[in-house]
Amino acid sequence: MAGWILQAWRRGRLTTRFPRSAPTEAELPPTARLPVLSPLPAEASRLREALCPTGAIEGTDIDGGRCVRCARCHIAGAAVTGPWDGSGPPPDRGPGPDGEGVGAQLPPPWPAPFGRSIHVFPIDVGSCQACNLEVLALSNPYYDASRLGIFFTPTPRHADLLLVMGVPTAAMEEPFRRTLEAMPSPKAIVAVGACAISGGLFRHLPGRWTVDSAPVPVIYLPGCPPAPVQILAALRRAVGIPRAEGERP
Amino acid sequence: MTSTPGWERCFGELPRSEEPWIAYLTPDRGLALVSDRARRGSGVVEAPTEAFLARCGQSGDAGRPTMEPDRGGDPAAGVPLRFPYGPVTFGLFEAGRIDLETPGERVVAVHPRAGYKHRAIDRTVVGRRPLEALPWIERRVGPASVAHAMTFLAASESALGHPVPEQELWLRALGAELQRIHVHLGHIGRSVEAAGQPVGTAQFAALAEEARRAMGRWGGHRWLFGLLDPDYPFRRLERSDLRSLAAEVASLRRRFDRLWELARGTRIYIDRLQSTAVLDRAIAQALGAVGPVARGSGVGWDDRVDDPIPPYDLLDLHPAVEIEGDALARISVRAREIQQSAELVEQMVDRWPGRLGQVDPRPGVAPDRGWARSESPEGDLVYDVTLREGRIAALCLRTASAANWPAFAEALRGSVFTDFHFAWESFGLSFAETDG
Ligand code: SF4
Ligand code: SF4
Repeated sequence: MAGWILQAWRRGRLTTRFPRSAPTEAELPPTARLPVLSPLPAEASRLREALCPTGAIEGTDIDGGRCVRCARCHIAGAAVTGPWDGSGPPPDRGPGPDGEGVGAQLPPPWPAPFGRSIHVFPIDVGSCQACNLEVLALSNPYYDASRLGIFFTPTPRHADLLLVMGVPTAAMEEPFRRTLEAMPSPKAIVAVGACAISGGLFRHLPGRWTVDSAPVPVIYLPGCPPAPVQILAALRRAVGIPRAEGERP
Repeated sequence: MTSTPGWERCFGELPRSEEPWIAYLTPDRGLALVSDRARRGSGVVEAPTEAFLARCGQSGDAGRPTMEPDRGGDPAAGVPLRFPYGPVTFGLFEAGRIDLETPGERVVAVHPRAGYKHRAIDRTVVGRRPLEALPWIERRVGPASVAHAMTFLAASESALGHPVPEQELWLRALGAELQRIHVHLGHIGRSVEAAGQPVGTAQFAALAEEARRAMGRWGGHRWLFGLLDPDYPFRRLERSDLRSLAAEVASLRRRFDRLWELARGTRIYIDRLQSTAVLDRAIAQALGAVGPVARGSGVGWDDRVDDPIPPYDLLDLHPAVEIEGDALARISVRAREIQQSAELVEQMVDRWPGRLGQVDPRPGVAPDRGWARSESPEGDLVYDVTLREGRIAALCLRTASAANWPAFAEALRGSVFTDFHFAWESFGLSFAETDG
C-alpha cells in the first residue's frame, strides 16, 4: 500500500485542467471533432454524399449525430476538403434533422439543476465497448469526474442521469425500459456516441429503437466514441452547470 | 454425429493447433464442435450437443437471446438458486447476461447468455468492398479493432491473391500491438480494482489512459479506428513519428513494470487471484480455449509465433506461458504480453520497411475465397471471406471470445461468488465480440 502511494505521489498531479481551461490536443485528438467539407460541384458533391457510410453528409453539412469520424469524406477529395485538424465545428453539436426519429435539437436546458452533484448510471444497449470504456475513463486520475461532483452509481435507483451507449438493439429494449423506470424523477438521458443517437453505422439494424422514444429529456453527445472531456462537458451541461471560461460550446 | 450445414462454406482447411477439437461459430451463428478430423478436411462436423450449447449459452439465433423465466430454486430441496447477472449491470459494464446456479455459496453451474448486442455486422458488410467494410469490422469490438480489421483484410487479400505493400502489414501489426497493451492494461487494472486497491486501480487506469492518448496522438483516433485504410488522413509513418511513438511506448512500459512489481508484492491482490477459477491444461485443450486463457493453462499456442502472418515471422517473440491455470496465471500472461508487445513495437520501429516492398498473401482456399488468422488480444481470431467481383459475398469468423466461453463456464464452476470478477477480468471475454 505504501508503495502504491509513493508511486502515485511520484507521478504527481495528472488531472486535466478542463473545464477551467480548454482541452489540450492530447485530450481531443482530431477525430474528436467533425470533419470540415468544402463546397463541390453538384455531381462530385453527390458522390461524396454516397461515400459516407452513415449518410451524414448533405452538401457541405455534416449531421453530427450520425458522423462516426471514419474519414471517408476526407479521402474523397483531400484537395477540396477543408482542413480536419481539430479546428472544425464544435464536437458536441446536436444531430441535425434527419427524419429518422432523432430529435432535431437539444432539449431545453435542464429545468431544475441537481444541486452541485449528480449520480450517473451507464447502460450498454449494444455498443462496441469503446463508448463504455471512454465513459469508464471519467473515473481515472486524468479526468477524475468526482472532483466535478459527478459520481457513478452501481444501481439505477440512485441515478439522476442515464448514460446510454451503443445501438439500441431489440433485445435491450425491455431491460432499458425497466432501468429507466427504476430511476427516480427528475431524470434525463445522455445518448453517448453516434450509435445511441442515430444508430450510426447500424442505423438499418432491424428492431432498432431510439432513446428519445421515452418521455425523458435527452442530451446528445456525438462522437464515435466521444472523448472523455466531451463526456464531461455533456454531463455538466446536463445538470445545468453553466459553461466555464475556456470551455468550448 | 451429424454434419452442420454451412460449415463447408464457412471454413476450409485450417492448420491445427494442438487442441483435439475446437468450437467454431457457424454461419447461422450456432456453435459447431469440430473434431480434428473435420479440420483436416474430411468434412465431418459434430453438431453441438444440447449440454454444450446450454453451457456456452449460444442460442441458434443470437439476435434473440434466451430469456427464460428466472427459476426460483429451493436450496432446501436441493434445487439450486439461479441468479441472473445482467444484462444491465455495472460490474460487467456490457450488455450480456451470465446466469449463476448456486445452492448457497459455491457456483455449481454457469450459463453465459450472449446475443443482447447483436448488430448484424456480418450481414451488413455483404455487398461492400473490403476496404469499404472496414468501419463495421472495426466496430465489432472497439478495443481490438485493429486485430479484427487486419485479420479481415488479410483474409480478403488472400481471396484476391494480390501482393500487399509490406509497409501496410507492418502498420497493422504495430497498431495491433498497441491495442494489445491497452486491452491487457485494462484487465489488470480492473482486477486490481476488484481486490479493493484504490491507489493501484487509479495508477493502472492512468496508464491505460496514457496508452489511449499515445494511440490518439499517433493514429489520430484513441481507438485507432480508420488507421488500416490506406487513405486514412491521420497516419503518421515518418521516421520521427515512429520514433516518438516507440519512445512513448517504452516509457509506458517502464511505468508498467514498476506498477506490476508493486501489484505482485501486494498480498491481498495475489491471494485473490491465486487458485481462483482454475482451468486445467487438459480441459483448456478439450474446450478449445485460445489466447491468454490457454497460455495461462500451459497451452503454448500463439498465432504470432505458431502461424504468423507477416511481419510476425520476422520478429522475435516467445509466447508467454504459465502452467497453473488460475486467474493469477492468466493475469501474469497478460502482464508479460504487455512487456513483449512493447518490445515488438521497438523491434518494428527499428526495422521499419521501405515503401516498395510487397508481400504475397496466404493462398486462398478457393478462387475468390480466402482466410486468415491472427492473435487478437484475447487469442486466435479467424476470418473467412468470400468475394464476388471484388465485393463481399460471405463473411464467417471465429472470435477468441466465442472460443473461450466454455472454458470460462467450466473454470468458474465450483468458485465462490466473490471470485467472479477475478475470473471475468482474467478471461477477458467480450459480449460485443461474441455477438457481432
Ligand atoms: S461518417 Fe465518415 S464520411 Fe460521413 S461525415 Fe463522418 S467522417 Fe465523413
Ligand atoms: S458510437 Fe462508435 S464507439 Fe460508440 S458504441 Fe457505437 S460504434 Fe462503438
